[in-house]
Amino acid sequence: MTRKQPPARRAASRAHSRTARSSRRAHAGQSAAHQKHQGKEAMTAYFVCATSAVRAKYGSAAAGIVADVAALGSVIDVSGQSPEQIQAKIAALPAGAACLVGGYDLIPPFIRPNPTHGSQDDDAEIPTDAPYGATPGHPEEEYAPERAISRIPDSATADAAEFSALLGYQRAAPTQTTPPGSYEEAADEFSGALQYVHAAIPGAHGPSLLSPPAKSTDPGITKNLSGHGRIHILLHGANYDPDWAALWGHGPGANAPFVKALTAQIFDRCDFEGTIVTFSSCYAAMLDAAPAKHGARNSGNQVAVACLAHGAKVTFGATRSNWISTTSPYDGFGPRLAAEVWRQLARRQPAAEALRLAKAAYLKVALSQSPGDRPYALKTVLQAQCYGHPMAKL
Amino acid sequence: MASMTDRELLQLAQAAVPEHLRSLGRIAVRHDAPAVAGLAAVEPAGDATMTALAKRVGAKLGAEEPNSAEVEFPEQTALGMRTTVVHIRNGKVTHVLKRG
Repeated sequence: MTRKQPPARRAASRAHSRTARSSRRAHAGQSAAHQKHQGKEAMTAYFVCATSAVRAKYGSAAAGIVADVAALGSVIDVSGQSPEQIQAKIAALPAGAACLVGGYDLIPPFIRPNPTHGSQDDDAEIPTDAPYGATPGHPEEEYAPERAISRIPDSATADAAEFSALLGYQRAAPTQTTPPGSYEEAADEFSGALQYVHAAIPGAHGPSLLSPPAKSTDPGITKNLSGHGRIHILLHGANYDPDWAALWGHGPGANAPFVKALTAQIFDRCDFEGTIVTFSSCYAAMLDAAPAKHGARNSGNQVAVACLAHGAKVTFGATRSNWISTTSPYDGFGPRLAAEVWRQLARRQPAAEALRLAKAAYLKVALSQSPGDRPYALKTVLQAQCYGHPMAKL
Repeated sequence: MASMTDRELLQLAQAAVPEHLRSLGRIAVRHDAPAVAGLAAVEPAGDATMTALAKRVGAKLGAEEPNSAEVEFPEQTALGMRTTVVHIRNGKVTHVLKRG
């Protein structure tokens, strides 16, 4: 574990003060009609929480965490239940999105075989929340879920102040305005796919960088990242400690080096309040440690959690490696799904529903193509996750 | 269309990747022939599941095409295996993929 505690504590402190500010802003000046609308929307999301696991993890701070979760909306307590039991419980709920609260130690994911596992892809299994949105006994719904699903992850290492602050951001997320502007960055070899997704992001007119030459030590990087409401990242990711804390640039040439382009530590210095982030990068939504035997994911080394801990409304990413097309028209697999998410967000769909609809729209096209493409398409949708408030909108 | 040989498929894929990768190419899957032992991707889902999924999303499942293959160019990198995979469908390159 390479995480240094002092920056994390500073971040939690900053996040706390920002949370208070944003919470005041979120609740101040709302008309009665707005509050009624907000209440109606809140009824369409269920927050699935294993409260006994929260108590075991957070000890004396757990009551505050549970109260923070209850402030998000209707809580469904799934203490002591297996993923299959939780799936059945969610399936029995009235219509509405379901949001899993906490990381994998609080609510485990389902584990599914990787459809493209083989010599070209060493990811053996895929951790996925998608089956929580499926009707039990209908495996096809794990690829195109019936119900919108999201997760609000915490760090694997218990940090009550940080998680409470993160939940504070999430409480404000459904009504929080997305800041204008955008930030996009990709590995140089993925420049075409970056442009493909760019075309789907409404209001994207901010910095668009390739790495190399962009790198993590460039001056002004936190200023460039902060305050933009739409972020798309297509850098390489890693699935082992400590490289998983960074996102990497890479060129197409022989023996091209991997360049550290962004890191969770950089995100620790940024303000993402109200931002929506899509990662087409490998492993950006990976919350487990496999195949590594050691290491725990937290806001200091997990890029999606780092964004949420600094105010992002929602992040989208893959738990395993994403397939990226490097030739024109660049419209395949991971970037195609990311673009579909942005198109759904542009139609004012709430975040989790945007991912659900994006998966269906993507599969409608992908399954009509060659049968040989199907494993790649199925991996793409199975590993794609929404982290953050399910009702957050662009 | 006449059936392409493995060599022809490999040459087609090699032309689609950077020069430094070309000598690493091998056919992972021929969709119009038995898979090369140990190289094929796993079967993703049963026929019934695929049919139900297609119905669910309103897709008409694509049919198998002749001269279709995946050719892989394995590359062990500092971040792990980042194999380039070339999809050939109906005798044409449709995708050149890398894992991000």
